This record gives sequence, structure tokens and C-alpha cells, in this order.
Amino acid sequence: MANDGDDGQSQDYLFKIVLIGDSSVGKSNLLARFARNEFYPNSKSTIGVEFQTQKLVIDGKEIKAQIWDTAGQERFRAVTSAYYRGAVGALLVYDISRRQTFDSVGRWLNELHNHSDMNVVTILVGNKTDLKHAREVSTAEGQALAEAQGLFFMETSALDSSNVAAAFQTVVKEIYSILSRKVFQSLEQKKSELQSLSSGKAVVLQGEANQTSSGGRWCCSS
Amino acid sequence: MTAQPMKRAIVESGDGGLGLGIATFIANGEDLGPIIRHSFESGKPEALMQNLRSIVKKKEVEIEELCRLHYEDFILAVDELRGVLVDADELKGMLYGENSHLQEASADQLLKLDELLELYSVKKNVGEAITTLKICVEVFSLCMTCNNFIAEAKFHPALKTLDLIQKGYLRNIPLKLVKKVVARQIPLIKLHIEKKVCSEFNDWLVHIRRMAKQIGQASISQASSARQKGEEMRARQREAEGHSHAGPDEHLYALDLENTEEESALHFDLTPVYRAHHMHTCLGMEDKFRDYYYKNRLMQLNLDMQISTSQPFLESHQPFLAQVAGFFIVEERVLRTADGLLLESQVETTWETAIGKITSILEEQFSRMRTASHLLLIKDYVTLLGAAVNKYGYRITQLIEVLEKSRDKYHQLLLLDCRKQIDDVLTNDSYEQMVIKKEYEYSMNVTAFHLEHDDAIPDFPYVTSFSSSVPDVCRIVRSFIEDSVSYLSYGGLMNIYDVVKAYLDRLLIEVLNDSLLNMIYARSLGMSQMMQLAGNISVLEQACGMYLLHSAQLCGIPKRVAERSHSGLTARAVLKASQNAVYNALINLTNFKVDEFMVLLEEVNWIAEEAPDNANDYMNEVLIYLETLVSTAQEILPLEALYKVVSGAMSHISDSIMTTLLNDGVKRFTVNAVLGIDIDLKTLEAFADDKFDSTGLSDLGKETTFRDCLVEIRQLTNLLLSSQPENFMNPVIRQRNYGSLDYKKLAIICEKYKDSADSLFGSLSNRNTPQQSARKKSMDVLKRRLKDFS
Repeated sequence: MANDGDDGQSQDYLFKIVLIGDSSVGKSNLLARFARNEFYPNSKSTIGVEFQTQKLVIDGKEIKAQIWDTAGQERFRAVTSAYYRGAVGALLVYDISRRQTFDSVGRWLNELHNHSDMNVVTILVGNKTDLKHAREVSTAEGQALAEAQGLFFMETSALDSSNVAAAFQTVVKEIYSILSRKVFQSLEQKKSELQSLSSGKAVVLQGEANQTSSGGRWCCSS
Repeated sequence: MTAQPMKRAIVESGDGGLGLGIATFIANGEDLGPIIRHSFESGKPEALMQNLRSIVKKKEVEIEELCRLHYEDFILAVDELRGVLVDADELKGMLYGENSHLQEASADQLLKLDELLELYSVKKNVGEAITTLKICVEVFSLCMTCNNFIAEAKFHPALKTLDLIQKGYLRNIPLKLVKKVVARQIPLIKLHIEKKVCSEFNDWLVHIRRMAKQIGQASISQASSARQKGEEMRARQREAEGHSHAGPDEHLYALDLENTEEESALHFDLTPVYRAHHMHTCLGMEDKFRDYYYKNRLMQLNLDMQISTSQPFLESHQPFLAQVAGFFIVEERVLRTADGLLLESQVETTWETAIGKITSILEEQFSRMRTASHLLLIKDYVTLLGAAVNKYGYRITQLIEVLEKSRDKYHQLLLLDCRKQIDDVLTNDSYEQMVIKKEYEYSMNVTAFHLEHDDAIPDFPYVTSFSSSVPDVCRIVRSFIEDSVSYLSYGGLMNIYDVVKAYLDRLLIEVLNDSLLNMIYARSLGMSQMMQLAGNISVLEQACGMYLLHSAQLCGIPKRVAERSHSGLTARAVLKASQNAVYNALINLTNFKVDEFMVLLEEVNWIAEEAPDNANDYMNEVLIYLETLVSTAQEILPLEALYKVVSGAMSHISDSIMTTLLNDGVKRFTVNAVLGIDIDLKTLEAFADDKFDSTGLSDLGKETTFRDCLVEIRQLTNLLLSSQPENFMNPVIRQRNYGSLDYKKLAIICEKYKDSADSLFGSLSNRNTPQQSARKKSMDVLKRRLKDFS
């Protein structure tokens, strides 16, 4: 976690969240839409790593999400470990109009597991839902993969803003929830495995509504 | 009318000499002044007067003669003149008539003539006017041309035209007013041109400052692409080496189509600079403009160098550095192409100042950073900046130096982070062998770190020899290696492998080994957990080889070269030492556990009346524990460690029994108690022999068996049960049978040894056998002799 649990009640929260996925799936535009409500039709490739700190309010608490956006890793490998280090959340993005980016999800999960805590809260994001006629990956396929891997799942469009804020909020909310439970248990002088804290299934959200996730599992290897 | 010249000789009378002279004088027309003055001065003027009157008379006579001769001719002439006069009057009348006729006829012509003359005058004036106007027209034409040029912002031809007006026409303008106006306007127009050009240049300054970030980003992006290509090349080489593949080269070079948009940013327009510079040169103000350019660009740079305070440096450093890079790329272009506008020394001085400030900012920011990944990210961008500007000829030594200085800071943060992670991993480990159920798990936790010698995938479920902290630690160490290599790459170091190894050693020694030692000495682990920890350390020590290969691979060193290298990690020896430490901890833990059971020795009846049939309770407990210990250790520990632990336990049991017999807790004991100890020892020795064989330790060729660890207590028991204990004093027998026994210990113990005959009412008994009596006597002898020794 970004902060020690024992100090959670008195400190501001800063969560590091990483955006991962193939080149040109729209990671930078997801970040631009979420942080600045902007969209760049002709985005340039990200050089290395870029940052954006965004404030959210979860359960009345102000939480800072430090969102790390990077080139699709192939182009800038020097920061691989550093990129993931300390991350507590991840958005794994693919492009629904390019199947190859969906087929790469497994490799990105391996990358994430190799370089970070296995307990990173991860959401699978199928971006570019505005390209309806060019869709190559169905919603059901995305949902099935997310369930198999124990991930949250959402389909988004950075172009028309569909579900963008919801995707980030889902991750941040889950991180905060886990942290709160950890703080509570620390106060209760109890220890439990984090994996057993969550319950329910991966949540699949679609359409325009900003539905709130009621819970779900995060990335695990079992 | 003809005058007849008459020549007569004049007869002279009187003064022949003087008169002749005066006459000659007068005939010659000479001045008579001096003669007359001489005469009056000499006082004889009468002679001169006389002579003069004579001459006068002579002349008058001549004149009268001449008149008498010509009288007739004179009269004729007058008559002839009268005739001419009449003719003249007649002619006069005729002319007068002709004149009247002519006047009448020419009156009209005369008017026309006047007109003609007037027109000639007008023509002359008009000609002059036309000449004047022609000059003015040329001047005005040039003025209009100049105006058009200015309107179209073509300032150079405007200036040329202005020069032409000034040098070629200004002095010749005939109209004073026009001349004055033109003379006054020329400097105003020049000033206007200068302001216009400066305004355009100022717009360019604003534009180029806005563009500088894009220019810098494009250049840095190019450096990034070049680096990426290099990385891909090296990755392919590593794969080729790994597979020992000698096939055809599969390197295909694709056209780089992605950067066309970015490269357009590098084609920035310097036309306003060229124009302004040229205009100022034409205006004779080149130095002024050069100074203006330099000062304004310097001000821009100073503004660029102020980093944002509202934004964290982590987020502001990229635009900041890109802005500076763009600035200097523009300056380099200006230096190369603007024909003396900038001096090389100026650009170099500016660059040195800027890079000094950048390094100062970086040092300050680095000193305040608490996260290693932040330092790394900024370092990466700084090295890209260095690569970008170095391509344009700028020296980046200072940048490299500041990164070198921050290297230790970076690694300290990494080590701190790793320490926290490793402590968490070791603290949270259950220290149970991992049960792997899927190939994915096996791949992630075993194959990835080469933790098993066999590369084949086993059947599942598979039980590992290590617990979950081992792959977790390996993951942390691998990340550390990658982060270390990431920082050291593209810096000043050419060969970073030795440096990476040094930092890796620090991680493994100062962090991992320290954490392991903390776990060993924390007394928080049970026996099986401590054994697993020992097993883990063994695997981690072996993993040092994998770390080295991984480091070498990332540093670009071929695998076979790294494998052939004899210099390993110092950490390997340190971990081996920790292995011994954990073995010692295991021994201590085992002995501590054994002590819990040996406490039961106090419950033994040391003055039993009868020999016991079975082993004492403490021994049963110890044996159960040892059985569990060996079976667990056999699965986890290497044989050497297993031997040490069990040997230690055996020795400890022997020492414990000896200590009990020596302590005040036991006041006296009987032969029956000794017989009980003998039964205990036989049971333990049987166990020891069995385990020594079944574990395979006998195959190691160990000279000291588990049974040998019990030799002291065995010899003591044998002595106490011997029919002739006094034989201890025989050197040969003592050396052979009782070599482990100490005189002092034996003396103390023998004093406590009491036969049943000495008990209460012993003297009343008559049941002593001859054998018992003989042993008693012998023991008494031994006691006395031992007492003599002490």
C-alpha cells in the first residue's frame, strides 16, 4: 500500500496507479479525459513516462491518485521495474477494435506480476467503444477473461467519455476499501490474508451509466 | 577726294644745331618736357622761345601752301557731295514708300512672330518644368515602390530603394519643399522599418519560445527512439546467445514512419531572425541587433529556467527540460546559419550557465526525493536530454556528473525500499514448503528463477524445497538488479557490470542477509520454521549465480563470458556464513527443546531400591522429539546440516545428564539409578545408530557417529556399573575405556554413589553377595585415590 495502515486514519492517501497495455490502445487519452477532460485525436506516442495527480473523494475522504502513463513498454523498457514499483492499482487497457491488443493482456499480466506486488488491484479496460462498427473483441470475451483472471472489467471510450471516470474510481475505491479493512484489523490486532477479504465476482459494467462497483476480486494467481 | 602728299625740304635759318634737334624731336613725336625744363633751369629760355616761334612760322607757311594747292579739289568735292545729297533724298523717299508697303504687308506676320517668341519662352519654361518634374517623378516613383515594399513587408528592397533615393536623387531634387520632405521622411521610414522588423522578430521570440518545448520534445523523442532501437537489437542478441542459434540473421529494418509528425517540429522557421539581422546590417545597426537578440534570448532562457513551484518536479521536469533543450537547439541553428549573429563563445557560455543551473536544480530535487523510481525516471529523461543536445554539439559532462553523484542516493533509496519489502516477505512467510498446483505457478515461482536444476515441468501438485519467501525475495532482487542497471545505463560509465555487482552485493549482504539474521535471532520461529529458513538460505545462496547471470545479461555481457568469470558475489560467502548461523540457531533451538524434556530428569528416583524395567520418562519424550526432528530435517536440510543438528542434540543430551549428576539437585544415587540411565542410553544409542544409517550419513564417511556423541555419559555409566571401577586409575585401561572422563567430575559423582548397604538399617543386612562386596571395595579404593588427586 502507498501508506502504512497504522497511520491511515490521520494521513492523506496517495495511491500510485499504473496504466498498462499495448501501444495506441488509448492509455494517454484515458488519462487526459479523466484528469483534464480532454481528448487528443492525433495523440503522439508517449515518451517514457508521464504523470498526472488527480484528487478523488471516496466515502468523504480526499484521495490523491498518482496515475502513471507510459509508452506501450516496447518503446521504453528502461523504466519497467521503476514504473511498477509501489503501484497499488492498475488499469490494463486493450483496444476493442484490435484483437491483438486483447491477446496481449496475458503478457501484460505477467509483466505486472513479475514486477509488482501480486495484490495490485487491477481492472481490465476495453477502450474505444465508440468504434462500434470496427469492434473485434466482444464484451463477453472481455468479461470472461476478466473473471478468469480475477479482475474488474469495464468497457470505455476516451472519445465520448463513457465509463472513463468509473474505471479509475473503481480501482481507487477498491484500494481504499482494502486499506480501510487493513487499518481496522490493525486496530483490532488481527491479521488475515488480504485475498480472503474480498467477496463476490468480477463486476461487469456497460453502457453510459456510472454505476458503482459493489465489490470484487483483484488480481491473484491462484 | 584725294589728298596729295607733298614733300618739301625745310630750309633752316638761325640756330642750326638746337633747332634741328627740336625739330627732330617734334617730328618723332618725342616728349619736349625735359628740354623745356632744362632751358628754364639754365636761365636761357629766350633762345628756346625764339626757336619755337621759328618753327611755328615755318609750319604756318607750309599749311597756307597746302591750303592754296587743294582749294580747287575742295570746291569740286562739295559739288559732288551736293549731287549725292539729292540722290539720297530721292532714295529716302523710295525707301519710305517701300517701308510703308512692307509694314502693311507684315503687320499680321509680326503678330505671329510675337506669338512665336512667346511660345518659345513657354517652351523653355515647360522644358525646365518637365526636367524638374521628371526628377520628381522618379523620386516619387521610388517612394511609391518603397511604400509598396513596406506594405508587402519586403523590407530589404525597401531599404535598397531608400538608399537609392538618398544617394542618387536627394541632392538633385530641384524643388526645395519636396527635397525637405523627402529628407525628413527617410530616417522616419528607416525607423519604421526597424520597428516593423523588431516587431516581427519579437513575435518570433514569443513563437519560438512556445515552440521550444515541442522542438525539445521532438529531439528527445528521437533520442528515445534511437535508444529503443538499440534496446531491441541487444534483446535480439541476448535471445540469439541464449538459444545458441547460428541461423540466418533475421534482423529486418523497417522504415521509421512514426516520427514524421514529430520531425516536422524540428523544421522550425528562422526567417524573421535572418530578416531582422539583415535589415539591421543594412541599416548599419548590426551590433545593436546582435546585442538585442542576445539579451532577449538570455531573458527567455532565464524565464525558462524557473521551474514550476505549484507543480511537483516529478511532473514538471519533462516540460522544463524539453523547453531548455528546444532553446539550445534553436540557438545552435542560429549560430550555424545566421552569419555572425551569434558567437560560438556566447552559445557555449550560455550553455554552461544553463547546464550549471540545471545540475543545481537536479541536485536539490534529488536530495529531497524519497522514492527511487522518481529519481530513476528523472535520470532517464535527463540522459535523453543529454543525448538530444549532444547531437547538436553541446557538452553534457556536468549532466553525467550530477547523475553519478546521485547514484548512491538512488541506490540507498532502493536498498531502503528493498529492506522494507524483504522484511515484509520474511515476516509474513509461513515457512512451509510451497505446494504448487499449476504450471503457471511453477513457471512464476520456480522456472523464472532457475530454482530447480531440472528444467522439465514436474507433475502437479509439486512440493518445493523452499517456502514462498524465496521466490518473493528473488523477485525483489531481480527488480533491484533491473533498477540498478536502469539507472547506470546511458550514464557516463562504459562498463556498468562491476558497479551493478557491487550494489547487488550490498543488497544481498546489508539487506537480505541482515534480515535473515534478524529472523534467525528473533526467537519467533519454531523448529520446523527454522529448518525451512535454513533450507531457504541454502536456495538463496545458490540463487546468487542466477543474479550474476541476470546482471551480466542486462549489462550486455554475453552469457558464456559471465559463466567463465571467476569473480563471484561476496554475498555468496556471507550467505553461507548465515547458513552456519541458522544451523547454530537450529542447534540452539533443538537443545532448548531438549532441555524442556531433560527437566524431567529431576523426577528420576536416584535412590531406587530396584532397577527399572523401562527407560525414564524424559528419555521417551526426547526420543519422540528427536524422531520428529530428524524426519523433518531430512526433507529440508542438506545432510551436512542434518548431521550438525543431530550431533549437537546428542552431545547436548550427554552433557545434560552429566550436569544433572554433578548438580546439587542430586545428593546421592544408587546402582539401580545407574542401571536406569544405562537403559536410557541403550535406547538412545539404538536410535542414533538407526538414524545414522537411514539418513545416509554413514555413506559420507563421518568418523564421529551419532553414538560417539554420547561417549562421555556412556563411559561414566560403564564405570559405575563395572565390577572393578578402580581400574580407572590404570593408565592403559583409562585411555582405552574411560578416555572422555574428567578426574574432577568423576570425583564429585563418585562421592554421591552409595551402595544400598549404606542406607538406613544397612548394617543389619546380611544379604550382600560376594560380587557386590568386591565391587564395593573397589569403588572405595577409587574414591580414596580420586580424593588424593584432588
